[in-house]
Amino acid sequence: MTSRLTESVAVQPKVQRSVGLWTMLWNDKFAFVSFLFLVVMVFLAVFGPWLLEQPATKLNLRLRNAPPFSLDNGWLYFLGADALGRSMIARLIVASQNTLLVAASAVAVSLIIGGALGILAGYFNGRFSTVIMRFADIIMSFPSLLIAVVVLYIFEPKVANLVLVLSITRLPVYMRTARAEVLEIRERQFIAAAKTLGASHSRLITRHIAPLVVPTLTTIATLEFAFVMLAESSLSFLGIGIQPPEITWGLMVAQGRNYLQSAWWLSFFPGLMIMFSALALNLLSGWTRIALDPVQRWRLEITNQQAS
Amino acid sequence: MNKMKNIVGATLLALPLSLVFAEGKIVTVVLSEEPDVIDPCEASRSNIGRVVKQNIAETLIEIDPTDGSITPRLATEWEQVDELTWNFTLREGVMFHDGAEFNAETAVTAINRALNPTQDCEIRLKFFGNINVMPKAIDATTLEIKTDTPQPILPTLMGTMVIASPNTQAEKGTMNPVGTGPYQFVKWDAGQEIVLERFDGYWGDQPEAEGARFIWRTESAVRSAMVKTGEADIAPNIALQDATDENTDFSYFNSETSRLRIDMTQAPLDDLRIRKAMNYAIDRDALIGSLFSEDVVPMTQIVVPSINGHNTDLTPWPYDPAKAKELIAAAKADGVPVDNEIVVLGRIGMYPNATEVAEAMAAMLAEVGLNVKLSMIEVAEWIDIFTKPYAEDRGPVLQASQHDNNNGDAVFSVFFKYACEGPQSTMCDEEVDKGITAASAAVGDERREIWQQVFKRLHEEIVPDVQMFHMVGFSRVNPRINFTPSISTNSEVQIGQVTFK
Amino acid sequence: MRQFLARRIFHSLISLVGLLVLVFFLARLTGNPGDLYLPLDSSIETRQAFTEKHGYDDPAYIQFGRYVRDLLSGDMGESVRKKRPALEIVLEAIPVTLMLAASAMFLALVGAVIVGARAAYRPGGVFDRVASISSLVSASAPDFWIAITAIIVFSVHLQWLPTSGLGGPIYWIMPVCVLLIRPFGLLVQVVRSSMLTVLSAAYIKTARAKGVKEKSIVFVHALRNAMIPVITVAGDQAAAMANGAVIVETIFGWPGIGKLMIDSIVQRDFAVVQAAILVTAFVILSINIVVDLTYAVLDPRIRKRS
Repeated sequence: MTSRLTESVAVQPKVQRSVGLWTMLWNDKFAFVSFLFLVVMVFLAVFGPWLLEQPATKLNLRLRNAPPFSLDNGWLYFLGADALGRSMIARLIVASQNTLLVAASAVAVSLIIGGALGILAGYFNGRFSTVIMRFADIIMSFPSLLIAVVVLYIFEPKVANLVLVLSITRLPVYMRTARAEVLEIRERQFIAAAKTLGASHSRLITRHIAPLVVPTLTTIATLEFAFVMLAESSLSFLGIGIQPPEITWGLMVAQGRNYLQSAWWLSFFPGLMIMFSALALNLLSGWTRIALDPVQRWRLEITNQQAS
Repeated sequence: MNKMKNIVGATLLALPLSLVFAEGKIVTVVLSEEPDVIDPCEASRSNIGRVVKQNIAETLIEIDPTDGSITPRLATEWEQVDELTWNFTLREGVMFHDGAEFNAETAVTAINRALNPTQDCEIRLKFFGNINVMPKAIDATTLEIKTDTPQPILPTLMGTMVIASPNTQAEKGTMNPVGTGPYQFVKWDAGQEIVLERFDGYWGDQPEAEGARFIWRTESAVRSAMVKTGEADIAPNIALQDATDENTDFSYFNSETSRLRIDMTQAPLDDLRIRKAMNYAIDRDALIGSLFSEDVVPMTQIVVPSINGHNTDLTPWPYDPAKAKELIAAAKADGVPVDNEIVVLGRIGMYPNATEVAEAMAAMLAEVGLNVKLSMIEVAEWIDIFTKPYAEDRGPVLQASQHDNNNGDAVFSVFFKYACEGPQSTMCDEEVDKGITAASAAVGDERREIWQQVFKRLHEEIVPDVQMFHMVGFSRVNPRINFTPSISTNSEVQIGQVTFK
Repeated sequence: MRQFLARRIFHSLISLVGLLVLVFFLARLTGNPGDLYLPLDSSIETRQAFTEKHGYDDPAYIQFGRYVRDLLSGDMGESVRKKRPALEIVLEAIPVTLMLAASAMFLALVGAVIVGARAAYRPGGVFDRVASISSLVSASAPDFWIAITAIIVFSVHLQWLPTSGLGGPIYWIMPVCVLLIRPFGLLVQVVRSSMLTVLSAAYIKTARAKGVKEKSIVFVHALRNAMIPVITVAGDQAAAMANGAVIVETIFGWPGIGKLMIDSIVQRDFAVVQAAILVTAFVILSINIVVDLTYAVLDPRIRKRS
């Protein structure tokens, strides 16, 4: 559905502006469900820990690894219980706060810093660019595991430090993509035209170039969102990620993998949550990019002279 | 399209034929990690020991893991000549794999190599760190060992000393271990496998297995799967949750004892009532059969029952939260700062579900009203905090730790953990120190009784630990072979003991 | 072109030096290797003796000086744990990782181009929708979860494939599949969105109007122009893999560089960490150069300027 809408826009760039946003959202059922899902997730992430702290941390060895899809122990145990008999539902909801916080901040930090550096590197394609890109090379060839161990040894495995580790390691993606895009955009006629009209560097970058790079970067960012959640999970798997008493979905998957043969739900449900969030975000962002973004529309109509 | 299907079908059919199954009389053992080295002088490290010890290279004396008693291996008899001197009579007709003859002379070379300070051999660092050992060949079959301090249990200590060939390079580690054992080293494909084959010139009975292959996989689920599919014969160490098949999975006491070390210098942990309260707060029965195996035994002391000095008269702490709260209230009334934040410090990956265990312990302590915070840390930081010198501003810490003593005597545990000078001790008790000194110099029943007194005092009057369990390990054994894992499986896997069904 | 290449290589060498300095000093912030190497029960004196013997008590810059001196004479140091030259250990591990990464990347890229282009060819069609959703799912699946589940299903229950280990072609199936699943999902997304943008461009419309065959439009004209972002992302993924397919190597027992690196970092085996990073950085920098060259090949304007 999304895709159909997406493509009808792409192929015939006539958007019916008279149609309201809500109607457009309602018309695309995938996007609509994604939107609902994300709203609920954000709501739970904000208020969940406050409401469900107790059942998420209370030990109850009698219910250890209680199987899912049974209401015998109350609705909190509908998705079963973990190895310490804690409600899976409560833990999934409490964990959503850290998970979304880590992923969103890490993606935002690397998007902003990486994007900015990449745009500058592409625009001033000289010595400055070289320095920035070699910097990206260093980060890329630096094993993220070492950064993780260094940060977690010297500081603590806290949320903020995890964000630091994840955002540093993901910088090069944005830097390289932004630079590559800018290199291409610079060559377009309208930039040359703006230059001859005497536009300043900052005006060229912020008004003409950045708006064209941002859509690509946001596409990457939404894909990266899942990547960051999984990277965080992998760190937990290797024993250098976030540690209890803090919880994230990634940590739950990593801890639950020990029980894959006896209690699959321990790692399955948090894995599913990661997947659903990533899906919802990507579907919604695809829709947003086309339906809401005037820059993108303008781009689709105007830049027909150039391939991107 | 049809052609495609045929190709796929044919490939699928062909697959099972090309799998490597554990077949023939070769025993495949799947370890948890690749050994770093396979030098005989490092055989006290568990994954190295499982390859080398008693397979490739043997000890003079073997420690019976079930009761800590000692039996002959390369030495047949031993006697104490004077306080500082022991004589060992060596077995005759023993050859090294490289053709060298085993005698007193070559034994001296081997001992000197293992204790050579230019090498960081673990046997030296772990067992002979503070002892000066002077071996001497009296005649071909008599080995004299002098020490600078009295060593009443030197034979037990020699149970850790693995004898390598005299041709082994002396100053550097070897990649080619040569000993007198029933199997000789064939090759080590780094990252992939270590291969041994039966040594025809072995002095003892020829074992049934023609050779052995050691491989390694990090994940317990994979190791247990490999035995299930027939790709391996023995997985010496799998996690509790993977040990699901009664026919193939054996539990054994692995000589590890698990506890929370109480930092007795820090308020409120310096108060005996608080330390007792914490022991009353732990519901050990609820942990058994859930987070821990059905087979673990609540501990009363740091050494397992098979160790000389274990006191069987002590009773484990009962679960009594009411009593715990009472004790805490009493301490509070006396002005003890019971509200100080107590950190439960767990080590990531100490054993398969170490994190869940630490979470459960912290939750139980919080239940009786203590202000507990859980913190899981990485091994390097954990060691730094666990060993002296301690940081000044460390605050009250309960550090989850696990101690392994399968070397027959309590001396390998008590000094380190509880003496005033012990490198991991947080306590200082005159009577305990006296007991340690007296026991270390004594032998026989006297030695055992002194140790038992020390353990009684620690358990009842000092309470330096939140006591947990004597742990069990799990091995999975392929039904095609007979092999019974035991307490010694933690440090060796004697391929010579394997028979085929 | 040759000048571009020379400059690029020179700059990469500078990055390499920067990386080395960074790694050396950061690693030394993570504690004393002796604490981890020595048995827990060893005395304070033993610990001190070990530390002095290996020079861990010297200030970091003096250790660095020693390291550089040895490095210049071709010596990358010896592993504390394995007691062998660090470079030897690393060179044993790198081929496994490179073979694994190359096969996974090749299959992921080829697969993604086919699926992504096909999806973009009839946007909104059934194929497109299935491809979009399933590629997103595959891009967001925890790989270690998939790996262990695959072993349980395909090795234990169905007994089709060996659980793990290095060996003939069938030993490669599971590790390669697990390794490619995420890059594949990601690349399908990138190929598809990049193709859509290109297909709406004017010159494609012109080609269509001229009556050039649809298939050749998609697979020749459009694809070539859509490859730049694809190559960027693919390069990034390949670099990440060269740094070790840690999870796959750990679970399937493949003795690659990722497993070696994590073990050495955890055990503070600095010489191995440094040698491993040096070697992988070399590979990654080469990949980056190749990516830049590909840009130039794909886009004549960039070539001209370079």
